[in-house]
Amino acid sequence: MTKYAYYVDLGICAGCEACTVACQNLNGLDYDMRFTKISRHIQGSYPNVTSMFVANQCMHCDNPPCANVCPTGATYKTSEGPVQVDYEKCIGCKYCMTACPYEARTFDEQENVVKKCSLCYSRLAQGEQPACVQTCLTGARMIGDLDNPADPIHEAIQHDGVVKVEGTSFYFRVPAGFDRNLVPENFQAAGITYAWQSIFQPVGQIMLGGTVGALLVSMAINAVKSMRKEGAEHGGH
Amino acid sequence: MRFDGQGTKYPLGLGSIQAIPLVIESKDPYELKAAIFFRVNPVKSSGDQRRWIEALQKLDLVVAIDTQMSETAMYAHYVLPESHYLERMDAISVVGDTVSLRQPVVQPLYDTKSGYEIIQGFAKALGIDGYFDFDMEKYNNALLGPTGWTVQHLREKGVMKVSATPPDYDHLPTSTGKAELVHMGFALSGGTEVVGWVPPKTQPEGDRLRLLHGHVAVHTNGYTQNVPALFARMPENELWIHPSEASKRGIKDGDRVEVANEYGKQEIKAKVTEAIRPECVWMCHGFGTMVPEQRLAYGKGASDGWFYPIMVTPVSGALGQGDAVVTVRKVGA
Repeated sequence: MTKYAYYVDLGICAGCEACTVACQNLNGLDYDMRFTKISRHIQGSYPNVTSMFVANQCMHCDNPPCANVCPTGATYKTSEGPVQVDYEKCIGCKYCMTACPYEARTFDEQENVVKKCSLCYSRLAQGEQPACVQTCLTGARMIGDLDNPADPIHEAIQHDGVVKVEGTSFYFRVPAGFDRNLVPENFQAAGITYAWQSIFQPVGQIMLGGTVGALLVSMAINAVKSMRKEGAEHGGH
Repeated sequence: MRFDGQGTKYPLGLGSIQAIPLVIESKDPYELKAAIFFRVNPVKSSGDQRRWIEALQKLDLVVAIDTQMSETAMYAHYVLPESHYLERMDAISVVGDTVSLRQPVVQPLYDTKSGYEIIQGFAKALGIDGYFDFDMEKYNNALLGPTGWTVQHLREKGVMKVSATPPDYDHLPTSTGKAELVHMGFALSGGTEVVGWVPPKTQPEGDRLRLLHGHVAVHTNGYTQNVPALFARMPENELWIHPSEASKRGIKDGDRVEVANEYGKQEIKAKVTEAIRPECVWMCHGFGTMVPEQRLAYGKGASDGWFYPIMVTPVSGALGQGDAVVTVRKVGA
């Protein structure tokens, strides 16, 4: 078996954003659409100031809520780890965008589908690396197979300061002096997802296509959104 | 004699582009009538933008060879468009024992020529084309001769290692065989045996802050601001200013501010951050494009070139940068 894992060494990311651009070019994205994002974090007071770049993209969760809420099965988890979207099946309902805890999904207005990082799954199948890994100028990014004991990723994730984002396929090395909270938080299966799966999603599936269904689904989304928002506010993040 | 004093006034210099406006004004050591700029944009990158523009306007002939319209090309009588780097072959590049080739991967999309072909055209017009009777492949093959490789090999490999004697750091090619901090060459060239500290001519005093500039990993000098993918990542630069100095001026993060001194004035967005010394402000170089043809980048951000006097460093004749202080105020305040 193969179990893909992704590693980013934030200690050596130079913030050039070549990953973002390579990904956009490979996927034919407009330049305002990004599957992988780099942001700069500056902390401290002069003269004790440090800075690092933080990478963010689809975390390829172990139990992805985006796939769980998808009414058409367009989003699905592969056995090797990468979460995929079948654009042919996507109806652009955006439930997945609401469900995603990492804001990793983006809506393509022209094609009316939701898109995200595929971990370059088709390239992996051909023995190639994801575009972001291949193009990274400093070698900060790595993809590997956790099921292969000889894979160099095992050594990489043993480095000091490596954080595993629990429940996802991602590892980050956070340089000394920076807070773990700067990288995406551990995946938490929210109760909301359960409610969605057991109530709203079946209702949505039954009613899909009808005006009433659309209305109900829309109300459900808004309800869940506000619940999530409240949850986040109360969560003290 | 060279107009810029290299080899005479500046014995250790390799060439001073910033001497051009000074010599145009002073006619010393002689009058300049024409200038041909090849893949450089000194109006933006060699200090005192206003002085450069006024000087170039005094010349009988200005020619700019470049892959895109630049500030310098705007003031040229003739712009000779050069092929993009993916459309042309350049001279091989050698770093240590590694040789690489920049080769065309597409035919030129527009009516452009490589820089070398343009130079060849000049030579022909001047009747000295006998000295340029080769193309870039022939030239590269001659350079590669001793290695036993040819351009054909490099085309296939892109990059290759050649056998080379590694440098012997125990015996450097200096008079003592060691790294020399004391260098008679500098003393004989009008400098001091040991390179010394020369205080800047300006100091951040009163409401003036020292202007610093630099680069970021997203853009390359002033050449990429109009590239759509990179414009989307960083469309404009910002003026980094410390919170203490920002609050004195009523400046909040994201405010438009005016940066000014006796040389120039520019508007830019403020970034209030702890990541800058309180007495300094910083901006990324390469923005504030004046060229309307650069449709995305035109007018976005500010150019540091407006604020620095043209300074020639002693002995080496290099460009002296960073010696400027500026005022910063909130626009509309």
